[in-house]
Amino acid sequence: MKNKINFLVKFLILTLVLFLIWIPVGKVYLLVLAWVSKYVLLIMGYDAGLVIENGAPMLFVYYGHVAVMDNAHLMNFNIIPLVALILATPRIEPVRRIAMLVIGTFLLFCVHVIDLVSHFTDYEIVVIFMAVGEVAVPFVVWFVLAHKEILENGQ
Amino acid sequence: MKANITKDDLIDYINSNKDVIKFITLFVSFCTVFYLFYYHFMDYFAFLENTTASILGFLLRIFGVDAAVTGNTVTMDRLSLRIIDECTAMFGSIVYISCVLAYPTDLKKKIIGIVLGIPCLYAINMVRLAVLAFVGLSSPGIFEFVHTYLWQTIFIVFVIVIWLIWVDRVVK
Repeated sequence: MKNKINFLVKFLILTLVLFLIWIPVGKVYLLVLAWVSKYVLLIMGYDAGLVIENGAPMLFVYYGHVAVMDNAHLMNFNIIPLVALILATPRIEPVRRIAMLVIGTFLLFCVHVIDLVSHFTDYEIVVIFMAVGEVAVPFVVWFVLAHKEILENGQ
Repeated sequence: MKANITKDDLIDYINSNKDVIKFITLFVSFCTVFYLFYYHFMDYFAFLENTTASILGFLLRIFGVDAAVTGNTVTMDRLSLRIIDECTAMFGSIVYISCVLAYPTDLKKKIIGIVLGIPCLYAINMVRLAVLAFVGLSSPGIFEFVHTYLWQTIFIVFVIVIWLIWVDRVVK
């Protein structure tokens, strides 16, 4: 139990620190995300224009269809619990930890691209499913990392 | 390091990780089924937004805030909050229920996990909304940051913490 409390405290401290770091870093991440989404949309047949103001992506435009990105930065913050979970979990080999950080961040980046693209293309079913994915993906990646300890404890 | 991965390597890998593969497959399947159910009957779940708004209004009035509730909107002196589906703990609950059902244990323990866990998640969500309302009233400048932190960053951990408590206290 003491280990679990240590894990929780470590997790909460990490989320707070990473949250503060992510506020500026997230702006760059959003810009990269917008550019990648633009090319994904292009592959899907939407030659959408990306409007950038003061270094921040503002909206996608496609034949009168406008997707405003004023709240888009909010969807990226689930990278923080993922990174915090991976860093706070005890007794994990460094190589495995780094691998999970890379794989997890890449998976979340893909989820964010799908989310942004589906907002633009009005695939409502995908947009709402992403709300589940936003919570589920950090959990799944962390479970893959720490499953031995969790399953052994449980059985 | 081996350059080629043979079929036997793959089978060995699957056999040595079958518990985690089974858990994740079940977890993703449950998430998808529950989500599709929710999506199909979304209109029937709209009452959750109004109920959450009513409870939030009630909680705020207990703490001396003059809050009026109309449908899914809570209106205060200088702040108005609209409760959407993401504010009802619905998506976190889908993930939690999927975790519990996918975990290898007996049905009785799974039912205990769901019956105790969902109200806990909902209660935590109400605390989160009440904190947000107070932040919105007292420090509107930091409302968006607190909203983002409590919404995305912290809520995930509560799903995991309640699930870990269930594993630790009920399953063990």
